[in-house]
Amino acid sequence: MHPPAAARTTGRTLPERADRLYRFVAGPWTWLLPAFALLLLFRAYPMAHQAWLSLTDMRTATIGQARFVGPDNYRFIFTDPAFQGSLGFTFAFTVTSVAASFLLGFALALLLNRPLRGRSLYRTLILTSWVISPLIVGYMWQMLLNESSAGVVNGMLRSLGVGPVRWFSDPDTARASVILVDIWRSSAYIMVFMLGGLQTIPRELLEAAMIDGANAWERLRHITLPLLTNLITVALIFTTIATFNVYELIVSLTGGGPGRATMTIGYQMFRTAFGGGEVVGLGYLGRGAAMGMIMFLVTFAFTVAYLRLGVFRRGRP
Amino acid sequence: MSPRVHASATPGDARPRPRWLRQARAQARFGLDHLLAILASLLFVYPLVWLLSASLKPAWQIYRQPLALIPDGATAEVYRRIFTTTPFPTYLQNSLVYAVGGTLLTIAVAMLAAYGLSRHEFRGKQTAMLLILTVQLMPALISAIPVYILMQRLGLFNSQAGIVLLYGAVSIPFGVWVLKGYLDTIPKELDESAWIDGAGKLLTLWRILVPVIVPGLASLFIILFVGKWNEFAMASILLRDTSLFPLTVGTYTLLGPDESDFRLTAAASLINVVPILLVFLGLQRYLIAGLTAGSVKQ
Repeated sequence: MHPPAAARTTGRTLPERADRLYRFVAGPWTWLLPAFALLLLFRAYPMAHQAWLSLTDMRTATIGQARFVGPDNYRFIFTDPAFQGSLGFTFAFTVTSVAASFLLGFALALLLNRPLRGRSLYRTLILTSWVISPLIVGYMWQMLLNESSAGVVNGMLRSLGVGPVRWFSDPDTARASVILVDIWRSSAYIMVFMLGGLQTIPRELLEAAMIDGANAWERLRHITLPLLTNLITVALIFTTIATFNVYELIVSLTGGGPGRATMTIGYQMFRTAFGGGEVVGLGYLGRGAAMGMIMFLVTFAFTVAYLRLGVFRRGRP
Repeated sequence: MSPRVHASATPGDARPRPRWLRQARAQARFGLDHLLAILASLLFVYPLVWLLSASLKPAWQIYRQPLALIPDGATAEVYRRIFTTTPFPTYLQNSLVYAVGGTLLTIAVAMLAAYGLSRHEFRGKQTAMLLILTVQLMPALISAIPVYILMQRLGLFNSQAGIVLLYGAVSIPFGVWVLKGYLDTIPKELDESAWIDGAGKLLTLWRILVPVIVPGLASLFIILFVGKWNEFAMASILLRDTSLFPLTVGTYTLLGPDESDFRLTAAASLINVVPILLVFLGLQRYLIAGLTAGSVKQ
């Protein structure tokens, strides 16, 4: 007989092995090559490099001639009251903003999931807020909440006999302002995301429950929420990562002020690395990299949580 | 929930209500839904309308009548000033180059990778997908400092090519994931019939598969385009020449952390927003499909 079937499939002979090697080298992996090359260069390598940078005293003036300083940068930032403050604010900001954005976004999704004429128009109008750059959202609300007589929100409050509220000059109010604006920005995304999920719930299921006498709250509690648990977790993880790493909104909304009241880790990192005037080389790249590492670790923890949801095994997000 | 609310909902307790009452309740509910939807829409759209109004108002009206939405004698003077005395036309052009260039680069590279993953079984495929997913959620901002150093070393600092490459690279994981999802829904028989006709794999991908997943490409395009058009953080540290700035960085250069001229701020902001809003309105069907892809396909 000619080559037994078993020998052909296991590929024990040299040419067969070479063929397999060739198929491995020039086969499927060639399709992935451009993507992986770019990812390696612009994503993986910088992340690894940052771990090293965070242990050096590199400044913008001394790129390439940094000294290894061990955990000095970490020791410095964790004993620096300014950084401690921004760490605390970032966590408080993230928890509050994500929770509130989710509640508002989900409420909007439930509302627009009802048989409502013109609901796609409402959805479009609400989603415009998500399309605007965070930098511009910051400028916009900096004007709307302005404490001068040109401020619209205080103007409205005045006509209701309230205020004026010191949206930016009082530290606590300024923190609240940043959170409110971020909620305004994030909830539309959550709305669209959850609306997609709500529309996958079979109508018959909800109608059957209605016939059995379940009221709206019971239907939400016992049908909708259990079916969407995974999706809600995904939405929360996505929003948490985006919120925790906020930077651009702060730049134009408060500039971290008053004082340092609304500085986030991301803002602090940019200030430390590039704020000293890049041209004169005052930026502390090593110290900033240590802050970048903290942002990386927190984000990575949420990424792991995301992967553990089984996204990977099902092969689809 | 209080037990009283519970009890009224149990079937045994439900006395049939008169028809008119049920109808009235339904009507009220319907009205309430619309009211809430309108209020919500106002909350999200009012700031934009106000922005437009503020940019057109005469200077005196800004402080005297902050709530008035109709400008008392509209004037486009600020826009004229921005476009004639600042490099905003260049900024606009740069933004377009970066957003389109980065988006197309991502799509091209991600398309190849998605094809490789969707149409082949090979050792290491699971690992490759895991790696892609892990990077997907990492915002580029986190590695701003090492990327800044990398760009200097590659000679890509302060260059258009550097921005396009970076914008293209960072969204590859998301692109691969979305496109693989679309390719997986297409039966393999479709490309196999093309091979029999003698087409290579690349040709098959281009001629057979790409046309089928145009909606997927459109969703990906709009999502990536929005992100890149709006990007500020990386561009602000990687570019030094004004002539290379995108709109976001140019706007920050013009306004700084707190510009007090409302008309200028409003007009500059609106110039950022209008182009992206037009793209959004044109392709919003695809944007929504793309944003919900993650949820619907669970």
